Amino acid sequence: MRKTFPALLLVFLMIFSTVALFPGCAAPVAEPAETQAPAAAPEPAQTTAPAETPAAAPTPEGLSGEITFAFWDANQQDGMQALVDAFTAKNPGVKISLSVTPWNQYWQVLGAAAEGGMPDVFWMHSNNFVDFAKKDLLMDCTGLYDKSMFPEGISQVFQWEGKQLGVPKDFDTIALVYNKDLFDAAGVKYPDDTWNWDSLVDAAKKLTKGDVYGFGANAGEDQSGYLLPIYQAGGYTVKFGEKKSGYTDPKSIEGMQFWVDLQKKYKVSPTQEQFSEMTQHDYFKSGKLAMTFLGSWEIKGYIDAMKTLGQRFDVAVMPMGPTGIRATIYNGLTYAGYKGTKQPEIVKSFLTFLGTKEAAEIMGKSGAAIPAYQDTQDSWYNNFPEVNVKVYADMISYGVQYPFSKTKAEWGTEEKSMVAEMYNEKSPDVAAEMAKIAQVVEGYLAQE
Amino acid sequence: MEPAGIVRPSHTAQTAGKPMRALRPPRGGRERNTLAHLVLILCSITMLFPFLWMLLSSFKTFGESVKVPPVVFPSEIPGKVLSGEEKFSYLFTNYQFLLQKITYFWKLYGNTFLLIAGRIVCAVVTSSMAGYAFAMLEFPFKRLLFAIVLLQLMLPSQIFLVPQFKMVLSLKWNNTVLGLIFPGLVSAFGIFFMRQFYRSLPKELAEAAYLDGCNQWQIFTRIMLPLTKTPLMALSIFTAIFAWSDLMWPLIVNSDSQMGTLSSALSKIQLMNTVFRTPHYMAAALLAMLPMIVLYILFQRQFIEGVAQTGIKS
Amino acid sequence: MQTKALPRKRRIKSNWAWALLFVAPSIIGLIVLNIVPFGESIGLSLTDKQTGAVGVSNYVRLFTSDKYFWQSNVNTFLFTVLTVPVGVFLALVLAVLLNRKLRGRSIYRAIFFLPLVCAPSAIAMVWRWGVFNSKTGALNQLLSLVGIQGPAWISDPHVIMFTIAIVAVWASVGYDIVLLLAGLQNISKTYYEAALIDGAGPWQRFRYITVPLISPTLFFVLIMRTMNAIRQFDLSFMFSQDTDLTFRSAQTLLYQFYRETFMKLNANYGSAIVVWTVVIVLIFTAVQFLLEKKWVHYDQ
Repeated sequence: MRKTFPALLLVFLMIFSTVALFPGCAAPVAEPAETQAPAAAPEPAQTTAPAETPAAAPTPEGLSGEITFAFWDANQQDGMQALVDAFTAKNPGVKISLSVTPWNQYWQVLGAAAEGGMPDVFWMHSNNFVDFAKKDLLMDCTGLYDKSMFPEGISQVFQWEGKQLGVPKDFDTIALVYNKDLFDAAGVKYPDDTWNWDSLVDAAKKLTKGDVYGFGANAGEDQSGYLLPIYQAGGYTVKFGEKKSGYTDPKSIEGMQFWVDLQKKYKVSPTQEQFSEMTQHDYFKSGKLAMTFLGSWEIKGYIDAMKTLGQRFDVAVMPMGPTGIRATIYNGLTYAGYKGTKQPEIVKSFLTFLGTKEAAEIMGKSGAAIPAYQDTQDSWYNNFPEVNVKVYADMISYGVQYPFSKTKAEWGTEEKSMVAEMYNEKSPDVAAEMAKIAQVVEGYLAQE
Repeated sequence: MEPAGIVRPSHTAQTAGKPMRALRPPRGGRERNTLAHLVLILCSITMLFPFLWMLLSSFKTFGESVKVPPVVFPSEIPGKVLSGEEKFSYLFTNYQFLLQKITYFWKLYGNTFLLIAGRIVCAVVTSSMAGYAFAMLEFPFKRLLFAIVLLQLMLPSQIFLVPQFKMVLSLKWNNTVLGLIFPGLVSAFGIFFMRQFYRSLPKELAEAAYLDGCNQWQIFTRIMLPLTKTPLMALSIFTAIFAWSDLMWPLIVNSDSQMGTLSSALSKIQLMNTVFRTPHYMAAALLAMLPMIVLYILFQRQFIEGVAQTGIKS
Repeated sequence: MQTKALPRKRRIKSNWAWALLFVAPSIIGLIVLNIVPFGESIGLSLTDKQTGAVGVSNYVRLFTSDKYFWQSNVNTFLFTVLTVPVGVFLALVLAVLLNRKLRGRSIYRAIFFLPLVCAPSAIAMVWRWGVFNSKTGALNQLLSLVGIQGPAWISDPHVIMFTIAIVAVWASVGYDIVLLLAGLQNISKTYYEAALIDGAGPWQRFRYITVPLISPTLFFVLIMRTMNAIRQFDLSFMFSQDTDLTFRSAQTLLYQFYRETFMKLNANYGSAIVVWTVVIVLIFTAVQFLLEKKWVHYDQ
């Protein structure tokens, strides 16, 4: 009996010393991943080389060290691992460890890490870009990649004081998805590029019967929801750099009204109450919804789900607005480097690699996301031959950047909740509600 | 041993007209037992229902799990099994997929185990000493220090996340087991718990040993500590449960997926909705629960006895 | 071992030294790990995020112009009132039943313990789909068997708090049963025997013996339950997102904190909410301690 305490203490010390003295046993082991790109492929020559030529991949003997690479989407882990493997194949002295923190905690963790322990390379999102740029945490990536090979809009978003503070990674857009079997059963023609709002409502009305709905118009969706009709009507919400918002613009109100009407007036959508129990994705994936707007990041999940359901679906371009305007919302992520990294050479080299065509194809092939590099989108399409996903990239020519600013996290959250609150009324006064939203959002914009 | 505070109300007047009542226990006992069983069974079903659902779901195909109206019993996979079409392992096809995709699942068990063991050791060591001191010894600032303990119990745990994360980063303990254990290095709950127990021990015990010439350390290790075996066991199990269900901290501190715990892996699996579906998630949740259930079944008696012995009196 | 005792003054001082030594690791740990962060929270709450100025601007905004705050308080209060009395009473009844020598007692105990090892948020979809779905969930299907049309548990703002309360009780009753059972086992059988001889019925035995003698444990359970109820967040988060129509009715104080800190990334404002929550917990706990003398009986 009297031996228990010293024994406990001994065990305690043993555990302590084991773990403390052998950090090696705590080090992560890289998961075996299918390396997409052949290790020895040389980088493709750039035809129009800008003034600062992107650095060629350094010779293997040059680099050695360890860096960390942080991101939030565990779904893309395989893709990121493939990129890391391809890079370390060329640079065997380098070790890159992956770190995944879910979206909800990602920004807090990154913010806390800023005081010490910041990852060397990490994903950056437009919502938080300005915040990090202002805090001078991001490495200058100007010249590390060939700007002409990427959509102009994305490079613009991540520009700060004339410098590019990130290497473009991917973009996503929103398209119209529809259930082919439900369309066939109701005898409705598939959506095409002649569609506008009226065609959408007509088709949806014919498709809404029994417990099936024609179109899923969830008030809780901004990027894949109410922002789309707003821009298709010719309105806008927030323009970067402007203190005044566009919520009270009659065209914006018209757009929002359309979204609300889908639920309240035309009754072709599940109600907001119903969305509490089942999201539009649940409805669609169980064959109870004929159409909805869908972000390209959801495609993989939809394909699997519809396959198990045994129903066919496809992707179509966005319908035009009442005045013939076409619009979709796009957003792009970048790879960012930590300005104060202890391994600037490795980080620069890795970021350069990530901005190449090879890296884009590796990422696209893994199905992770649509690579932003010109002409590499096929690598992503080829993962989904059954569905017309080409539409997503085709629309980028008339895509609008997902609105952002320094205080986006605050007003973006409020905007969504306030839009949803409108639906408490049977016939919401959209103009008045939009005015309220404008007031709140402009309050935040004024602080910037 | 008549308790002083027990009220003897006028029920004697009420039962005056029923003198035979006190001699009825046997028959009344069995009736009440049936009623008791009924209530318990009803409550048990309510308790068990979500778990049964989870179990059944883990055997379904994805299509079945999202069907509206919901399918209760899986039929597609067991159908294959019963018709002899596939090998028996196909009943567990979701489990197979899960373990194939997450090859380090066993490592997660290991990390979780180390986390729990680490926190138990820390809690037991620090709480025993502190609990004993608060209960049996006098020292300056005693009330103030105990107030600190109580304060910690009242604070919501979310406010500790970021500050503790910063501390771990500066110690470079992130992505290690030590980092996982960090918030559990001390346990206010444990201190409170052990103090309650020690208060139920007679002070004379310490006095006698003291007069014999023992110093405090000897009193503690040779006399007090051996008496606390059962409460310590109970504390261990409570600590194990709290550590096991700690979700946010492992997610933040060990961003490397392989250094995570079962609960943090569960949330990541839930978010990986293009890779894993509901049935896989259910399978994962069940696999994650398994160790705790086993633990409880093995130590059930000591657990309750240990709690009983603390008396939980102020 | 020597047989001489030290002089009194030296003994007390020596005791102090030992006591402080015993207490030191824990207290230092608590201060560094918990009290300092709380201090940081307080500091954050007194700093304006935008200007960096120190002052009570966050609190002013919270109490005067925040459109969610008063409702959060009401929701938190409602939740506490729903779960604490019901949950503790249920746990007490079940503990009393489990205290008897029934067959299968350990099986029952194991079953009631199960929810403790499975966080409700982990099986959120079981609750949303399998139990509370207004058309296809088990609960409404059961009710329809007896001819009642069940409410929309998840989407009706008037009902959502009840739904959350049900799950909360489900999750915590096992814990309380264990504590109360332990307390019950400490009650000497002779009390009951004496009462039986006096002709006391089961309800009277319960009311005049069980409750008073278990009151210390009961008190502890009530305090812990109340503290946890006021700090509830996970369940509200699980059942209601900020774009659901139920959000206003489901948002508790700590949910609002989460939204402000983790979604809107304003940790300063969020900290003000936390500080307020701690104050509320303190008040409730203090009140309970004041009432303690009125109804809690301590044995010698």
